Amino acid sequence: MDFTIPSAPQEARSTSVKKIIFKGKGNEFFSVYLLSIFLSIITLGVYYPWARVKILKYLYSETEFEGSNFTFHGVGKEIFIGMLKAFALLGAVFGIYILLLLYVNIFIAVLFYLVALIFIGPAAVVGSLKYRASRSSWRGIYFGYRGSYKSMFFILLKGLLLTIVTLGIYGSWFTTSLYKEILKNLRMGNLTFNYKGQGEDLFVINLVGGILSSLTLGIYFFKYQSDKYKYLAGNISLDLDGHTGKLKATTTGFGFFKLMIGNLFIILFSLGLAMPWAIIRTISFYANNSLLESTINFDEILQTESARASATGEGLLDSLDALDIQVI
Amino acid sequence: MKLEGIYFDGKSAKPLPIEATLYRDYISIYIPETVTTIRWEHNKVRKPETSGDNVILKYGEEFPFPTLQLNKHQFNAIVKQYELSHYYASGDFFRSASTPIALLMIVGGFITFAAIFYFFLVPLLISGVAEVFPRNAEISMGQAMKKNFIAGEKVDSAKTVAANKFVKNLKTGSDYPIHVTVVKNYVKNAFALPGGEIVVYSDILKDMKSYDELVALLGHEIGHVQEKHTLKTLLRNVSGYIIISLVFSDVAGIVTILVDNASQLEQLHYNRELESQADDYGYKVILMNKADPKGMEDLFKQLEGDSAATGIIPEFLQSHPKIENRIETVKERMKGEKSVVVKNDSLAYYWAELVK
Repeated sequence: MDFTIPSAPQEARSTSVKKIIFKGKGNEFFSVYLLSIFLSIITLGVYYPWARVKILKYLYSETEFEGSNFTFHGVGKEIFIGMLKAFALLGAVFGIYILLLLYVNIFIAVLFYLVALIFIGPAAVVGSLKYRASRSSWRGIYFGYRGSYKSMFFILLKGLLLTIVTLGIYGSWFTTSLYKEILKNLRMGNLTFNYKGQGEDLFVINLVGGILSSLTLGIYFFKYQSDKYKYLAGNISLDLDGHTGKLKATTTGFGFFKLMIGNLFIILFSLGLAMPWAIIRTISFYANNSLLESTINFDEILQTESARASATGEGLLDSLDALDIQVI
Repeated sequence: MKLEGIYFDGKSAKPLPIEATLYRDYISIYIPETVTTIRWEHNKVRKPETSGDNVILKYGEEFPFPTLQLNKHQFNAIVKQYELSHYYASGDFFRSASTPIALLMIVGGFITFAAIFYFFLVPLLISGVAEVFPRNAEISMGQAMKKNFIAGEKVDSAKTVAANKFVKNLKTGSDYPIHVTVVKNYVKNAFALPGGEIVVYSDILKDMKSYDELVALLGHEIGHVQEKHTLKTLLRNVSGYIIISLVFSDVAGIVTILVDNASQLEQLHYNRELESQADDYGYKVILMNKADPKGMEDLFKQLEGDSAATGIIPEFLQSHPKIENRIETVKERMKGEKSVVVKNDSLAYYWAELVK
């Protein structure tokens, strides 16, 4: 708002630079986090969905863009039900696996298990993306994920098989296709996203990074992490009615060094108790080192999604909708 | 008192500056830009949510929801002043717990709970797991452990055959198939694995005066087997891992870690209670086989002298209960219960093979 000149869409606008501001504090998050974990343990995990909601609500509400905070609308109960369904499904798969192991043979049992996981995996990924997007908002505008199970299924299947066959070389292309699929299907109202990175570019970064990291006994590793993040983030673009924006990462190798080594010491010396500080440091690091250059007037975003994402009857997919996989 | 804030209509992200007034039954929202006033009935306003320095209010049942963003401190002051309980913010309990004393209390509570969990709930859990642990799994686990263990030892095959013939002629009272392996070793020791596998070191046999001592020794070890002591103690030693495994239902992981632990089996320490139970069982085996209870006393004395000489304390001679106490216990039993001693020729025969 500060830098943009309001005008009709499609006209030339000057580019403005915006930042995502994360205001989370270690000591506040510590109590949220520890109390959540504590209650999850004494209830033998039953409280976990509610704990997760508490943690996510805190992290979202401390994240600000253009003067407004993000909001997580998830409810413990729906994640709990999603978790029960997922447990039932995985329990059934595991049960059949055991029966096959006992009455048929180990080859058939393992084959069944792998095939089952290949079919369930994409449903879990798509389900949790849909769920998370549908429960996230900014200024009352909801996010949405419109990707299909089918396309995710083929991307994951192809990616896993080729990565194994090529001994990991295809990994860079796999990451690229996954980023493309997720970002092109993600939206916030009528604001859409895209990923323009290329597998071969990422491969070069990974190859050079890997070789130099081992030659320098790990010193180059931090620069490698920074280069990789810069490339991945720098290829994410936004579009609103023809006006575009792109992310730009300003991380440095030294920044990654301070973040990772610092977190290692924080966690080690507190025996894990100071984990919340490490999480806050990490999110602050990424927020402080990301800029958004755009000609988009974010006030013009319009509501497009329905909040009831999980009410679509899509069988298996539907049953895993509220499965909230940890991606933060 | 008027509150300044921002209104979002739920259809676009355009922020509209507003002036809001809180009444007992409704909120009046005045939008200067469009010169309109909106009325929110209080029973349709959702519970306020704290977000940074703001309070977020959502309205209505139907998507998309109009949203009101107000300053947290100003809003809470008015809510408190007029006791508008409908608008008490949720989620503040967690945030308000960020004072140093509250943090200390949380950490203290956490540690207390962890202690209770470890010293009380874990043992309970372990005996539960040991109870339902499938017998076949226990037996094959014990066999895997034995294989793992004897890989680094020299097995005395002739004595192993004789020892198992001895066991065949022994009334064990156990539901487990008992199998003995004799290992060549200068240390006097013997220990039991889950599911009936028993390892006896050759030197413990050398100084035995009668087969009654061997009955006492095997009786004690069979006691550990029958009462699942090894399984329980191993489970306790790896309980931290077990809990994580149970959470992730990673049963294969439990078995692997137990087998990996086999290398430390000869140093496994049972607690006082389990050792006494095994002694009780050993005494029962002696009576069952009409062997001489004095064999148990002789065995303890032999081992007592040996450990004093070598400084090595075998499993059979744990520091507690004290060996003198155990000798006392045997003596009192011998006084209390009249035992019939009948010589068993088969046992004597195979014992002779063992001490050759």
